[in-house]
Amino acid sequence: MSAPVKVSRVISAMTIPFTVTLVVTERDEGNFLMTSLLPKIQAELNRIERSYSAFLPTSLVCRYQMGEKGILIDPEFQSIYATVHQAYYETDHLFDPYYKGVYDPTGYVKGWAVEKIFREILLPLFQKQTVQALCLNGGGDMQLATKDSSDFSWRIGIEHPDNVSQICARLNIKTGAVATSGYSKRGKHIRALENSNIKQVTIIGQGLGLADIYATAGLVANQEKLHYLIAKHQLTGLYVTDQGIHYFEQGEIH
Amino acid sequence: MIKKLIRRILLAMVALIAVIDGYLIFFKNSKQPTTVSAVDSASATTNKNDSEGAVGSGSTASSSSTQDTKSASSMADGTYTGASTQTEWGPVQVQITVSSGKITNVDVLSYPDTEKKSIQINENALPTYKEEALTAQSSNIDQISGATETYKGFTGSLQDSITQSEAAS
Repeated sequence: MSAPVKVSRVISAMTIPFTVTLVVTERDEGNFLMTSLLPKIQAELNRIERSYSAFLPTSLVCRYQMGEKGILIDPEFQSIYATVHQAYYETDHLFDPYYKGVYDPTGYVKGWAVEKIFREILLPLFQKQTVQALCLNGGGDMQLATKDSSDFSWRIGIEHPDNVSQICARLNIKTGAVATSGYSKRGKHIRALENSNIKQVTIIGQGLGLADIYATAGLVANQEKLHYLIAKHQLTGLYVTDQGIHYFEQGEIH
Repeated sequence: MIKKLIRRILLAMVALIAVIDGYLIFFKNSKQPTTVSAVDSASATTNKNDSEGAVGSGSTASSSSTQDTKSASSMADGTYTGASTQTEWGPVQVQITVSSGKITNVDVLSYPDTEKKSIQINENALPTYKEEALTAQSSNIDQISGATETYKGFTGSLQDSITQSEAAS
C-alpha cells in the first residue's frame, strides 16, 4: 500500500461550508467514495435545515414557536428539545435555548447534525481497508476519527481570535470532536456576560453535539464560571483571554 | 405453532408491562390529587402520535387529573409523561400538560446526575497538544477550528486552500 493521501470536498448547507475529508491509501478509491458520499451528506443536511432552521417559517422549530406544540411528539424533535433544555441546567443557564425569547435550538443543531452524519454516513467507511481516517468539519467545528491500526493523526489548527490568518494552537487528535466558539465576528447564538474577558473557547470531546454546547456556554461565561463548568463536566480544551492561552484537561486547568 | 404461541405470550407480556409502566410513571409524578387513570397512549393523544410511533419507543403516557375525555382528534386534559427520550446526558422524560384540548405546558423531567459521569475519552482518543506560536497557513495542519462566523469567510477559504494544496501534492 502507498502512503495515505487526503481527499477533500466542500458542501454548502445552512449557509455554512462543510468540509469532508477522507484519508485513504488510494486516491482513486477516495474520489470514488466521495461521489456516493456527498449526495447523502447534502441530503441529510438539507433535511435537518428544513426541519430545524429558525429562519424557515415552515420548519418544525418555527411552527413550534408559532404554537404548534404537537410537534413535540416527533421523536427527533423531542430528543433535541430535551437536550437543549437539559443543557440549560447542566451549564448553569449559560446555554439558553430561549435567549431570543422563543425556543431556538440553533446553538446545538449544527454540532448535533455533524456528529449524526459522521456516525451514520462516514464511520461505516471504516469497513473499507483503504480508508484510514475521516473528518467532517462544519464551519470550524468537527468530528473526526482514525482507525486504530493507522499511525495517522489529525493536526488541528485553532484560529487566533485576534487575527484570523493566524493559529493560536495546534492539536494532534486521532479520534474525537473539536468545537470552537469565538467572538471574532460574534456568532448569532452567543450572548456575552458583561464582565467576561474570554475571547474564544475550544472544547475537545468525544461527540460534537456536547462539545459545541460546552464551547457555546463557555464563551458566555466569565472566567470563574468557566472554571466551574470545566471542573463540573471534566472538560478538555483551551480558552483565550487577553492574557493568553489557557489549557485544561479532564477538568484540570493547566 | 409453538413459535406463534410464544409470540402471543410475549405480546401479552409487553402489553402488561406497558400498563404497569404507565402506572409507575404516574405514581412517580403524582402531584395532582385527582382521579387516577392510566390512559392508552393512542387514544389519549393525537393520531399523529400513533402513526409516528412517538414519545420515545414503546410509548406509554399516563394521565392524571382527567376531567373530560374528548374525541380522539383532540387531547384529553391532563398531564402526560412520555417514555424516556435520549439526550446528550442520558435519558429524560418530557411531560406535557393539556388544558382545553391544547398543550399549555411542556416540562423536561428527571435530569440525570452528571456530577460523577466525566466524559470518557479512551486512551488513543486523548488529545495531545503543545503550545506553539504559529503564523499563517504554513503551519502544517489538516483542519482549522474557529468561530463559525469567521469560518464562513476567511477561515473557510484558508481551509479550502489547505485541502486544495494537499490534493495537488
